[in-house]
Amino acid sequence: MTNVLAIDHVGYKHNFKTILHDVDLTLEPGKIVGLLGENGAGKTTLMRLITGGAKGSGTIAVCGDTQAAHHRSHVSFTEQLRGFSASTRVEQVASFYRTVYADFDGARFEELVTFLQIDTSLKIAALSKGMKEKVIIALTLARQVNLYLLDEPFSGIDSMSRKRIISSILKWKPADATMVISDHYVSEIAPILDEVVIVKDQTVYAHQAADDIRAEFGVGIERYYESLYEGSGQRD
Amino acid sequence: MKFDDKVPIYYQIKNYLYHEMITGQLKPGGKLPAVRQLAVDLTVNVNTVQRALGEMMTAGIITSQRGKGNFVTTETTRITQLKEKLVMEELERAYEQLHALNLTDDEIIVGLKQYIAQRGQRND
Amino acid sequence: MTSFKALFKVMSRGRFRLMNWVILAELAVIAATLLWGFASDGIEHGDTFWVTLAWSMVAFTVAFILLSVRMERVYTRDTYRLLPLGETKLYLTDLLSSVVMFVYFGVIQCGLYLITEAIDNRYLMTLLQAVGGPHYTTGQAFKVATGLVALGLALLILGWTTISLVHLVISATNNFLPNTSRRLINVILYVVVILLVIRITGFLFHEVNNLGQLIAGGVTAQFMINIGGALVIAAIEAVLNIVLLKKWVETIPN
Repeated sequence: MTNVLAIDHVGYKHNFKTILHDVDLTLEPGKIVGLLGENGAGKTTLMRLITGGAKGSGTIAVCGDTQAAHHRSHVSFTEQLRGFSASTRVEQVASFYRTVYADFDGARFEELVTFLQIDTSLKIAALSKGMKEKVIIALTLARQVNLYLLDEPFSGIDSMSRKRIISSILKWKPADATMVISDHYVSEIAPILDEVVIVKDQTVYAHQAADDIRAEFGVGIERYYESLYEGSGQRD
Repeated sequence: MKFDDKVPIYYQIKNYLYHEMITGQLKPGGKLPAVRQLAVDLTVNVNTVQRALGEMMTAGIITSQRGKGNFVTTETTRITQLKEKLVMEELERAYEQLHALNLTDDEIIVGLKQYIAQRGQRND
Repeated sequence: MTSFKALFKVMSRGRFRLMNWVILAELAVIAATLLWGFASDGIEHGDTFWVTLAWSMVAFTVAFILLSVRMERVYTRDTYRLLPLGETKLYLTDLLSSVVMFVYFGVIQCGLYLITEAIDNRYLMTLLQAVGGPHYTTGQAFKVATGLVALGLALLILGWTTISLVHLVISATNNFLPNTSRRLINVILYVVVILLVIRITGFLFHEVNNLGQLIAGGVTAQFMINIGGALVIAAIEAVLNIVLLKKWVETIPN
């Protein structure tokens, strides 16, 4: 089976500042992968390089295809709905998605809306942070693709919503699709992760199976993650 | 259910299901919930559930029937063995911890008896 | 792949609503102006038409700006840039959607002129005949109208491709230049834009003058060449815009 994602020697600079360099990463189908790293470590940039929203060097293949324009039909990313004016209603956003994405499953979206308790008549401007994140998750998961990229889906969200979002991920992620979830707070999602990818020192610093970390080092994912930062001696 | 992040999750899932079988929540020959349902109920990854079930199948504790799902073995001896094994494991852990506190075997037995007696009183 | 039809639909839906809001606002302002005029010193023959025409010019400007903003927004938003389609399709559909909506707006404006002209008892016709302007045959009038519309559309497209080019160049350079040279580039670009605007305005006035001669029948070919020239420049800019989108222009991060 081909890898869902194969990143080879990818680098990215912004205003002459290196954000990422020499990134190599391959992900197999059917995994839930935690993308961990400090704020500003380059987690979002890595996701944007995969979607083609950011332009870097090196090659990125999604389902074996290296062309950025082709990635988009395989990738569903939690985009922040910036293309819509604040007065757009959630149902109008959903209608937009339904029209432009052939892989958008309307029935699945309705299920997600019910499960996540979303009021689709609300305007984007009227959504609380947690509610907006739920809407974005519902839209992202309603598409049937090979690779889901969830960029910090739990930041600033109350624990009830967080639990609902985690459940909806487990319920609706297609079996052979891979999902990357970025977060800088690990403990909440640790039990659902197959693999952990740690972004540090402007590159992919570690890539490990979650249960291997527990079995080999006898520590939790969070402890392991923290130990990498302590070990380098640069941070506290 | 709450997991210990230091222990492999598949191992904890196995233990959880064994516990259900020993206490009779899951009867011999009974059907296990679907993999995805288990994953959602336990808030764990589908692959991890599958790994746990795979090992349980190898151990002969559950059997898979194509298209129907997974079932607890009807061989009750296996479950009895399982119970003995788990009990031994728990005892081993308690014993080793107490031993680490420099208790002799006799002291451990005395201590345990005392503890059970006290606990019995408290529950009355 | 997202089809052209689907993309055009989602892009135009919001813009159509936007145009209707502008039209509603325009009608409200016209009505208010006329009422105020009526209350203060009565309405004279021709007032309805001129008031409408004056506000219509304002409304045209507003519609152009609003559509430009909508159009430019597409280039840097994940909502559009992550759609499964190529940059060429994205860019051209975006441009076409705005042009079509602007044409819709223009048609409504023409409707308004006709209505107010009728209310004013063919004021304009009478006026034109009174000042003894050229008496057009239907054929000539059609030619003039077509010429005006073609010129308007060509300049509209050129205007939008130019705005996009400037925006995309700025956005592309912002990604890889350090802050100091970025500011320099921005200043240079603004100067270029101002020069371009002056050029285009000059061209516009020149063409409007030509229109008289066009009617006289002399320089139709020259007029058409100029329109063609504007469209060629627009096409070159469009190609540059698409290349910029493909290679360098990034979306706004989350």
